[in-house]
Amino acid sequence: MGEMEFRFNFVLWSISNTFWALLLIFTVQLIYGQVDTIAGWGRNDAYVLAIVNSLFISFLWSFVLPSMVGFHNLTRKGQMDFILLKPLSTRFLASARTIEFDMYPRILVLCILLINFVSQHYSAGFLEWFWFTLSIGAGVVIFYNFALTAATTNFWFINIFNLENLFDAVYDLGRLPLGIFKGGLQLVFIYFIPMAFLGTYSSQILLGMGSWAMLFSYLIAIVTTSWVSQWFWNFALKRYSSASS
Amino acid sequence: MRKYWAFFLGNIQNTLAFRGPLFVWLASGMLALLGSVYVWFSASGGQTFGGFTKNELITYYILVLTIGWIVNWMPFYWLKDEIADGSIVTTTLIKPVSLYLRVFFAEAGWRAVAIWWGMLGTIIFVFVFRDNFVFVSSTGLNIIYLVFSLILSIMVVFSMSMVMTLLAFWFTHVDVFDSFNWVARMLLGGQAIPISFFSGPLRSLVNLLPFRYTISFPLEIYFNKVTSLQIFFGFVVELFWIGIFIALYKIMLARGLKTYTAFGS
Repeated sequence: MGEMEFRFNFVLWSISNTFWALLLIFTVQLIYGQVDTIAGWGRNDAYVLAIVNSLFISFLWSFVLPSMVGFHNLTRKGQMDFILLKPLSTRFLASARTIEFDMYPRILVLCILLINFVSQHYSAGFLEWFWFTLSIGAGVVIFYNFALTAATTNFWFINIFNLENLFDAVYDLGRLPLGIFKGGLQLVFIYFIPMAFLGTYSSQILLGMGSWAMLFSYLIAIVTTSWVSQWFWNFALKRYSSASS
Repeated sequence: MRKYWAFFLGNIQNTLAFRGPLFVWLASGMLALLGSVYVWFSASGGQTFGGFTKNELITYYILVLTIGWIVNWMPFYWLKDEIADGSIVTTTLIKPVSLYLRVFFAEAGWRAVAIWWGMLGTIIFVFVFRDNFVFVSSTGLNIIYLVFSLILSIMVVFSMSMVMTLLAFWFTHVDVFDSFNWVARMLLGGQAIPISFFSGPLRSLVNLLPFRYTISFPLEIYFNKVTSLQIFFGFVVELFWIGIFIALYKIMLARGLKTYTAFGS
């Protein structure tokens, strides 16, 4: 209802968000005009990766990031006090209070693009689409846990208003194939910064290059990140001192 | 001028008091840079890409980080909130100060601290990728051109940001305009990919729009990708756009203040 009070803003954001997604895909076109492959990923693979990553970003900006980027106001302005007083999960109230709808047109456009492109250039069956859809949901959960852990640092570092920049950097990495990193650096971008779960793994699953190890790694990542984010949240709350009441 | 110096010093103090955002900016810039650099390590298909060798492209993206810290003077993010919540009345409108200069000096205060963080990131990356970083030999004249282009780039970005911010006099939510601005700057300003990847009519359009003169133009001077004549043409285009933005700023400020109502101050 809040979005509908500013309809012109909603329309402009819908256009801007869709334009961003198409821009990212156009960038692939420009880069592959100069290169043949990047870490073994050809042009068509890179298109799929770009569209899948854009889909992730769309879901994140619909359900996760609007609450996270405004988190610093909760601690700085003392609004956290009112959340703590409510008989509900404080984690849920603090991190899932805002949902935005201006990404929905972009999600629709990306889904149409993806389905069309994959059906023209690849042969993905029902199982690939099924596991792909699950991997998208799992990736959103993993990133939610990562983002909450980062946002929780606002309990100590007051007024970190630019966490959005950090989130931008992380999910933009998902547009790149994980294979560009080797060795220890690749492990960092699987286990500490969830780059692999924001594009590469889901794309590989959709293109029939997935494996049970990949699916298992999603499960491990969800359990681990959930536990870490919850532990850190409780740790931070114990040290919270109100700014107002 | 002493009053503007006070804004400058005040914002230095403010920046030093809240250091967390600087760390976040540095971390996010370095993460993005890591991705850009390693993409080109893994790319195959030729000796040059858009007129750049791999090492030049790696150097390019490291310098994008550096130049971004130098030229991205964007008061949009905090000034739009001052207009929205009415605090601009007490901070500027009832005081004998120019809004443009007050904001300019406040941004300068932030930059005076922030730029050292950017330099730290640059030094780290140059050290880590020292085997790939290209130190282009420059004449004294080229260095002067580079410094002048950076100053003009600051003015282009700052003036453009001020014009966008003044939209807050008419629209409650103005972030979407910044989103369009970032799309244009990422693609047409050389931040995502060098503009040499463009060709044909699109390249001609890019040369005339102001976005090229934010990040790309100083880098083209550094890499000696432009002739002296093209540099002069670039300076003329930059001055043209600075003039356009300042003129727009004056018109929008005059009209905006006629209709502006502030709550709470």
